[in-house]
Amino acid sequence: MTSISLKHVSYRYPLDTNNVIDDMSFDIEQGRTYALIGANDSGKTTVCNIIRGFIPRFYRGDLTGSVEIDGKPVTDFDDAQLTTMIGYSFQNPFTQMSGVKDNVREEIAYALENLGVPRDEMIERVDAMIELLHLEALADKNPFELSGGQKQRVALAAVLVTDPGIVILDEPTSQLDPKGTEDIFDIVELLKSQGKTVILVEHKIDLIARYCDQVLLLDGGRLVMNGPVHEVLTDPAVLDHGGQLPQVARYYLERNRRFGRHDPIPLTVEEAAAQERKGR
Amino acid sequence: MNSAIGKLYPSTKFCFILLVIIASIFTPGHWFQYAMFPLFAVLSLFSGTFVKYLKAYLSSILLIVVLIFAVQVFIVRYDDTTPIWAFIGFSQTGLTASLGITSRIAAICAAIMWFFQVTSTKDMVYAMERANFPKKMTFVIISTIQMVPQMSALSATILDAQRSRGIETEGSLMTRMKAFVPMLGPLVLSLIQQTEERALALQSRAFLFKARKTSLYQIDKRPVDTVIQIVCLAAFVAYVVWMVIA
Amino acid sequence: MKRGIRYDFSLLALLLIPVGVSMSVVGYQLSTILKFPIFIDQIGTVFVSMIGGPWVGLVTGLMGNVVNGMLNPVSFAYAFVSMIIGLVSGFLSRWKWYTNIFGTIAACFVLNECSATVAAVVTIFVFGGVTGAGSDLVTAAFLAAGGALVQSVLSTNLITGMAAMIIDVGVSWIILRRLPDRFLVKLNYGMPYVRNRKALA
Repeated sequence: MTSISLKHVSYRYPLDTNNVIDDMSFDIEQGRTYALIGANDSGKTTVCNIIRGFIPRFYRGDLTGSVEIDGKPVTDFDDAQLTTMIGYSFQNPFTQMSGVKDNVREEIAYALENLGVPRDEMIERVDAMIELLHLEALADKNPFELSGGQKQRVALAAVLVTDPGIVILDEPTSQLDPKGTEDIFDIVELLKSQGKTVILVEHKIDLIARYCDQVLLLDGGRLVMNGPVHEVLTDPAVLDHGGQLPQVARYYLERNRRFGRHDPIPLTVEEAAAQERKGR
Repeated sequence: MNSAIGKLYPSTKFCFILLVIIASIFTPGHWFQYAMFPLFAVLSLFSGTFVKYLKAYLSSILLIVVLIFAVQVFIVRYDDTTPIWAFIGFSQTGLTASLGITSRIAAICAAIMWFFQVTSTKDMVYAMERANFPKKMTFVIISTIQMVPQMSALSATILDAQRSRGIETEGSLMTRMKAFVPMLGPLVLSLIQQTEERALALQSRAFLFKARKTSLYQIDKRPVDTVIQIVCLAAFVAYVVWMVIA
Repeated sequence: MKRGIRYDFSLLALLLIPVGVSMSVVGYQLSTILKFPIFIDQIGTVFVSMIGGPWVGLVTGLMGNVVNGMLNPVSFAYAFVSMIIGLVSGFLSRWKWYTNIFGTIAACFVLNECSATVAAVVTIFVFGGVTGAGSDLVTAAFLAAGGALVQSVLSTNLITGMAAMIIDVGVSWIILRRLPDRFLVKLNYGMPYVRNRKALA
C-alpha cells in the first residue's frame, strides 16, 4: 500500500537558475524504512521538505510534478494535518528546542498543547513517550542544559508524541557522538517495530545497512538508484554517484575482485560472520 | 516564588498593584504615595524577596527621584522662583510639584517592581493563555524573555573571541567604533540562521494549529485569590466613591 | 506585497522579534563596554523593522522596553519611543527609503525627529504632569512636542540624536546586506534588499 508518491518532481529555489531536484519519481510504502543517501547538496533534505510540504509553502520557489500522500496531493492537506501525519526531526538539536519551556516534560508536551489535547491525555502520552525513549533521568531538566545528544532525543520525543504514521529524520546523528548515535538508531528500530514509515537521511552507511529496508541514492538532484538495501549497498556503482558502501561490503567486493571469487556480499559484520560460518 | 505570595494567581497580584497604581495617581498630596515603597518592602519580606527588592529599587529609582526633585525645585523656572545663585533658584511651586511627581513615580515603580519579582514569567504567561490572549502574543513574550539573558551571556563570549582575534577595543573613538560591527555581526547572522530552522521546527510541533492551546503546566485560582480580588474590587469602588464625594 | 497586520506576523517574523530585542540589548551592552558617548539601544528595533515591517518593528520596540521595564519600570513609559521608531522605520522600509543612500540619511533624520518628539511628550506626561492637572497636561504636551521638534533641529540634540540614529540605521543596513537572498525572499518586507535582482524578473 503506497503512502507517499512522487512523480516527475522538479524543484528550483527562488532566485536560483538550476533545479535542485530534477524529474524525481519514487514511491514510499507504508511501514518500511527508507534511507536517502548521497553527497551533500544532492537534494536529500529538499526531498524531505517536499514530502512534508515545507516546499513550496515555506520555501516558495518552483515545484513541478505531483506529490501525493495516500492518493491526495500534499497541497490539499493543511499544515496542521501534515504535522500530525508526518513527524520531522532536524539536524540541529539546539534549534529544535522550542525556547519557551523550562523542563523536558513540557517540551515534549508542547506539540500536544498546540493541538489542544486535553491535559489528562497529555500527561499519559508524555509519560509513555518518556518511558519509551528512556528519558526519565532528563524529565525535569531544563532543555537548554542538555547535551547535543540529549537534546536530539528530546526533540525526537517531542515530535513522536503526536504519533505520526510517517517519520522523517534528517541527519539526526550528524552532531552526536557514537553513544548518541547508537541511541538514535535504537529509536529507529523502535519505530520500525511500531510499523511506522521511516525516511532517514544519513551518512553513516554501516548503520543504514543494519537498520533500513530500502535505499535511495541521490546525485545532483536526480534519483540514480532505488532498491532494497542488499541490492544497492552491494553495488560498486554507488561509489561513482557520491554514495558510500558499508565497510564489510567493500571488503568482500575487493576480495571477490582480487581473487576472482563470486561470494555473496554481506552488509554487516554479523552477516559476514554467519556467511563465513556457513562456508566452513 | 515559593512563598505564599508567590503562589497566588498572577491576576490576583495584578489586581492589587493596579489598585495601588490608580490610587497613587489620583490621590492628592504625596504621603500616601511615599508610603507605597515601605508597604511593598514589607510585602517583599513576606514573599522572600526583601533584599533583592531593596537592591533593585534603590539602584534604579532613587537616582531618578533625586534628579527630578533637584530639577523641579531648583532649576525649572516657576512664577515664584527666588534666585539663589546663577541659574539656581528656589521655587515653592516647584517643591510641591516635585513632591507630587516623585512620590507618584516612587509608588508606581514600587508596585510594578514588586509584581515582577513575585510573579514568574511562566505563571504570567499561563494566566494570559487561560485568559485567551492570542497564542502568538504569549509566544513572543515568553520567547523574548527567555532569549535575552542567553544572548547577553553569548555576547560576552563573542566579545572575548573577537578580542583574541585582534579586534581592538581600546583606543580612539574611531578604533572603538570600528569594533562594533565585527562584534555584533556574527551574533546576528547566527541568530538569523537559527531563525529559519526554528521556524520549521516549531511548525513540526503544530505551532500554526488553530485550536485553543492547552497546557501541561497548571496553576489554579484558589479561594484566597477570589477573596483578594473581591476585596480589591470593593476597595476600588469605595475609593471611587470617596474621591467623588471628597 | 500584501498589507495587513495579520499577514505581517508570520511565524518567521514572529521569531525575529526576540532576535531584535536581543540585538538591542547586546548593542547597548557593547556600546557601554566600548565606551561610546551615545546610547545604541535601538539597533534591533530598526533592523527588524526593515525586514519585518512596521507592526513587527513596533512590537520589537515595545518588547525591548518591556524586558527592561521589569527591572526598571520607567522603561515602560518610554516604550512609546521605541514603538514609534519601529513603526516609522517599518513604513520607510515599505516605501523603499532604505534602498538608496539619500533615503537612508533622510530616514535617520525622520526617525530622530519622531523619537525626540515622542520622548519629550512622554517626559512631560510622566515627569511633569502626573499631578492630574487635566487640560494643562494636554497643553504642556503639545508645547513639548512642538518645542522638542524645533529644539532637536536647532540644538546639540540634533547631533547626538542623529549620531545614534545613524549608527542604528547604518549598522542595521550593513548587517542586512549580509543576509542571504534565500532568507530575504521568505520575508514579507525582504524583497527590496535582495541582491540578485535579475533572478527576480
